Amino acid sequence: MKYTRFEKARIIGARALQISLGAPVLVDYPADMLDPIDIALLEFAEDLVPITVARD
Amino acid sequence: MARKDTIKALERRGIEPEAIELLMTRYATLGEIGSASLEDLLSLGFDDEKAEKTLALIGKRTGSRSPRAKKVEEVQAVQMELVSNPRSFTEVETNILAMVKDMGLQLPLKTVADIAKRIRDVKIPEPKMRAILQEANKKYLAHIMDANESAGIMAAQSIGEPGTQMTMRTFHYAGVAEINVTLGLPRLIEIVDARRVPSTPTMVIRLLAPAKEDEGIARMVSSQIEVTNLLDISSIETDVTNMRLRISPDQRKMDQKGISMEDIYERLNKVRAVRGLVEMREYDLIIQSDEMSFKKLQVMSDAIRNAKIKGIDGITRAIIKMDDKGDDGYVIYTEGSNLKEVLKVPMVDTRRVMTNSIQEIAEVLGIEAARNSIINEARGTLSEQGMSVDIRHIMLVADLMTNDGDVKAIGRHGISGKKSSVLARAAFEITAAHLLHAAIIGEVDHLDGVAENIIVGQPVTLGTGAVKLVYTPRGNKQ
Repeated sequence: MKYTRFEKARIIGARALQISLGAPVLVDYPADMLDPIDIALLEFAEDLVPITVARD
Repeated sequence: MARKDTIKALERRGIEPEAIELLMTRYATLGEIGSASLEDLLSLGFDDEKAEKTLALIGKRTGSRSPRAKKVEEVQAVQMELVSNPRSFTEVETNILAMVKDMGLQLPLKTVADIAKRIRDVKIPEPKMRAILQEANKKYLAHIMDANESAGIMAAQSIGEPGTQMTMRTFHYAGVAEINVTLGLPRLIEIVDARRVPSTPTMVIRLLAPAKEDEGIARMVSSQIEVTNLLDISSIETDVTNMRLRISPDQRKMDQKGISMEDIYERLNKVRAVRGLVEMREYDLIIQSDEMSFKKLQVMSDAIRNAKIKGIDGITRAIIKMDDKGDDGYVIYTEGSNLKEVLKVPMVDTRRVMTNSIQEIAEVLGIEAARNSIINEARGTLSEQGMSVDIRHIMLVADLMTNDGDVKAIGRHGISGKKSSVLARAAFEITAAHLLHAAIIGEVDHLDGVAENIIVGQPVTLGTGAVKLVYTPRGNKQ
């Protein structure tokens, strides 16, 4: 599924919040990467974020 | 509906009393009767002929499923097909469309037509053509708005901001050929308010072959359009001693307008106040009063003074001008507008007649023409003032104004005032009255719009706020 830019922002935002609160990260990320948003972006790029959108 | 009312309504339709009696044995309301079929009536004890007649009399109302109603629908469908799609695809266009379909691309017809126009005389091999289409499709998709994007708010701001700059500028503007045309902000407001008649209605009438090349013929056409009053071509004298009016036409002016004495005589005889009293003399027309009353004389004089001798109602002035830029030849510019009648005048180029009265266009040519006219007029006014507003903003506004089949205003009496949400209406105007009314009749607000959600303190249903997230364990591969 192709996401609109709003959906992408929302998914990455939600995932970054989860990571910042201590959720296990699903992607291999460099040790110097500390920002949860960067990690969420990486996860999104790898298509590993366990979140999608409901469209009606 | 009470039984009595139903009977009355049936009588009004011209159904016989016995027939009504029969109908009322089974049916109670007009709606029920309207949906009755021929068989139903026959089973009620009607004979064939009578049943059909009764059905014809009542069948015009409601969405009845009788065979009669179906037939009418079919006829209309055929007529619709005749007028729609007047243009057929060219060979190049058909080829491109086939390719687009084959490649599973998404391209609007307009783009296809544009591409076809550009490559009309160039021979392009198919693989290259496919590459072009692929690229066009990429650009098109990149330009499509995302779902949940606030297109309306952007349109409002994009038109509103240039509007604030226009306030400072000229109100009226002596436009083409000394005809006064409202331009600038007042005109923009007029368009958006969907006024019935613009403050300065004007028309641009282009002419067909013989008339557009010859000033004399153009003048003749123009004289058929511009209204000529009796006073314009003659002097009226009130003769009190003999109780009569003397009309002395000016021969030169009459020739100019192409009017004869007989024309005046005929026209005047149609004016009610002087009907049958007009008498033709050698150079004059005499109207002899049939009563010894000064008041009557005065009334008659007033009635004929502004009697229209020739021309089209509503068009007070017509000016002929040579089109210097294009090759349209002589063009008629008018003050006042009456599209319906102007289209009937011979030698008028009916395909290119323009009026700035949007309502008139909607009535004569239909809602799509009105939509185009809103776009043209709004864009014209904006660009005339040097404002470059993207046409898509204007198109959105025009779509919104015309989407239910007639031209609706934006604002209190139009779109903003008819929103379904109470809170949105309350946020727009007269808050207390809207809330009170909603409370009295028990209105429900579903919080679908933007204003409502801001009021209750929720994320708005736009952009990221409209996205609903779903948890999908183990990646989102579906």
